[in-house]
Amino acid sequence: MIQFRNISKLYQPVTTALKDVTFHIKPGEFVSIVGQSGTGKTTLVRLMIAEEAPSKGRVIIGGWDISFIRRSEVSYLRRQIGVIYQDFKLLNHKTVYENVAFALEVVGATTKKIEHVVPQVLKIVGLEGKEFRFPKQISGGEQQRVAIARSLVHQPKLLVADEPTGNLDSINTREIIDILKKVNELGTTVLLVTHNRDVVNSLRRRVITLENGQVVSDKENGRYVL
Amino acid sequence: MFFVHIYRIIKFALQSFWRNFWLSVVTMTIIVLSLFSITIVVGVNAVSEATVESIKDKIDVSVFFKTEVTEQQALSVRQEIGVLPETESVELVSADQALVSFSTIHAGNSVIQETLREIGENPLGPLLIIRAQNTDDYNNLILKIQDLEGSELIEEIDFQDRATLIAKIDSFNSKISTVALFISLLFLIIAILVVFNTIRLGIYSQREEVGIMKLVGASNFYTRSPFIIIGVAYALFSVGIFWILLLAILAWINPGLAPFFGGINFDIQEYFVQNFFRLFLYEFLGLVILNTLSSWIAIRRYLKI
Repeated sequence: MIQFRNISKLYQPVTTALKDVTFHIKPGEFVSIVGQSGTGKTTLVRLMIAEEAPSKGRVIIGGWDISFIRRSEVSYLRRQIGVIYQDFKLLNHKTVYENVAFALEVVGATTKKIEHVVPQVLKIVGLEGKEFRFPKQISGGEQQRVAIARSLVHQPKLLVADEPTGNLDSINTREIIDILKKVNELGTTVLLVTHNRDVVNSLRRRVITLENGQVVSDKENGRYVL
Repeated sequence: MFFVHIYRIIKFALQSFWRNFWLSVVTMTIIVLSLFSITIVVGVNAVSEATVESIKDKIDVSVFFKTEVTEQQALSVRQEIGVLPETESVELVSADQALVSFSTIHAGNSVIQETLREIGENPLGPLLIIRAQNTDDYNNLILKIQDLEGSELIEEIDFQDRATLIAKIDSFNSKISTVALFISLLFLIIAILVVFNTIRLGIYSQREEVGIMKLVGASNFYTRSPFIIIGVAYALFSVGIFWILLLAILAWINPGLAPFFGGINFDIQEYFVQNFFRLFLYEFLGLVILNTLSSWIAIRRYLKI
């Protein structure tokens, strides 16, 4: 599903965000990438969605080498990868329904398809009945669920969650992790980037640990060891 | 799917336009003011050209014949001059007409009137009043007149003072054109900078939406198009508002402008009405190009997400 082959990422003049990172994630896996702040976790996410290009090495997503992807192809890549962020990235002037529908509207989906898909994904994340509320009228956990719903509308094979629980309390954190597990059970590969020790330890799934831009550990049923 | 795309692009453009209503108003106001600046220069240029043309209309060469020259001989010279390529018109004034005209002009001058009475006969010969196709042609024309077969019948060719005047007018016209061009360019640069920055500001206020669009898989075409449409809408509304205001202002002030132009036969309102379609088209196309380029450049950084 995802292959990072000898990836290095340098920022001029002398910052090395990633150094010779290599790992392989198989379809259907739930993998946590952990590490302290500034270890290159977010750079890894940026490389996966082609927001940046590697300085060295190759990134392959679903057999597609995106190391030197053309600008015009980036939109097609992103329709195959769902991404959620710590700050949710929702549009405050749009309702829950409109925020989710937005991801389909911008790729030219028909109104019929939108009316079919959006209620389904809102049901998966447990937001039925809250379709017409605005982001400011729902809790942080619910806002993150909207973001997850939005990332699922393209039925991605890969869901990347970059610190999705960073702004949430423990109850909401648990709910979001449960939704991610549910999405994974439905067949989507999930990549969770986090520095939340409790979340990682409770998952008992594969854990890749980054330190100073390098992979220092890659274990099945791993734990947060830093 | 194509029409769905176009419908949503237009919808997003309209939403952006209304959401940033005051910014849109400011942008269009600046464009309208820039159009006024440039159009004032165009108007000044038109007035200056009309003035020059008006003065040029009054320029001619007078060919005075000797007193013994008959009207038939004068007509024969007139025919020779009439076929010269530089000649626009030749008017023959007979000796009698010349005397009447001279007497009328100097009716109040008792010395001249007394002298004419003492002479007792017409001291003036016939004369030709010649106009050239172009002011540059006069010197050439005079040389050709001096080489004509009937040139021995000519007493005097009067052009010296007017040659200086023509040179001055040409110099003045050339300077006016240069200054007008310089001022137009200056206003154009100001307009480009202002429009570019206001469009950039509009896109900046929408950066969150643009960023999310890109993250969920919108193409660069889809992301960019609404801002191009907004740019075209700015151009259309601005030029429309500008022309409504301009024509209203001209209708209001035009009656008071006639004394200002003095003897010059120029109606500025008529000038702009006659040139409406040409100027509207130039201004609209110019603004569309300017706004499209501004949008294209300004949104580039947000497409890199």
